[in-house]
Amino acid sequence: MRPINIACCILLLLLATGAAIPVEKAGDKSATLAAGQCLHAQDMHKNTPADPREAENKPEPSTTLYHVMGVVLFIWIGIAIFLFRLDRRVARLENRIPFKK
Amino acid sequence: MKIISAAVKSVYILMPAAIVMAFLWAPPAQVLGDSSRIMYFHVPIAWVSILAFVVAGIVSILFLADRKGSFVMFDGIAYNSAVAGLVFTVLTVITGSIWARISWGVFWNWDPRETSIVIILLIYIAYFSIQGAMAHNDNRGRIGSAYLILAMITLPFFAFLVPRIYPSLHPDPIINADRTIFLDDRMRSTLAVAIASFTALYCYILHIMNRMMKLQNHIEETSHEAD
Repeated sequence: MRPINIACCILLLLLATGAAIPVEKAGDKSATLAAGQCLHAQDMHKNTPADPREAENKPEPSTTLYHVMGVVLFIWIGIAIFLFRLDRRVARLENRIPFKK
Repeated sequence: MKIISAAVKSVYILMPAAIVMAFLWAPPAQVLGDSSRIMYFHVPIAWVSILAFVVAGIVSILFLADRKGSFVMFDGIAYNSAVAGLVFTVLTVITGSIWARISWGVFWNWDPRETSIVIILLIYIAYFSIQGAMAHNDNRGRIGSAYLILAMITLPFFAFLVPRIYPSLHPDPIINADRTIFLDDRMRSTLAVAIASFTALYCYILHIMNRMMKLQNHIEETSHEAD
């Protein structure tokens, strides 16, 4: 069995066990769930700012937002370096090996 | 070839732009607030996962339809695209679960869309199991390609039809029944940049995987000739 299959099976198992946890035990329960249920499809996608003036005068993003952005950028930089190095190595190999036309 | 290579490398510029736009430029959604920003990652990743499976299916059709042997490598390309699709599908599930935890209070509640994505995952895991089980079978490419075509046919049903038939807590899809995009202009442009960057990332990964596969095949052929 390939490692990718094993990883996928583990993920599905985790999902299944997570789903088996009763809603009452899953944290701050009724309040969060009720709030979630209010977010019905139609309500959720009215994503425009409530008031244009409010959008213009919106406060500066919190520091948490900057932290999350920093983490996401850091992850992307890691992926980008990995891809760049991989691309360069493959290009070097392609130059070294003479391909049949 | 150089044009394709340059186009896919645009991901190095597009992705940081998408991240900065998602966090600093796009306004927060009315109800969800800042947590809605995960949409700029979740939606493009989900789009790319479906795109990857469709590419795998189309390439498989070309592989099976080929009688002259011009598309011998297409079996491998379809496999690589399915691998990328599977990884992006897993990422879709992860980002979706995080979003579900924030808005519904639980990571997973078997919503129609969540269930359909799990079924898609299972369908493609079965493909890799088939490929793994037939490692030394000469018909591996043909059987795998036929399976990928069948899997592609089920995609519209699970990805687009099921979530629209059953009532769901999942937000309305971007392409909805009203044919209206309920998004602010800045949100829309951020989402467009994010979709473009993740599509470029998929193409870049697929491009590298295909080149590696070509090198591997060449090395194997050379070693067989030497034997």
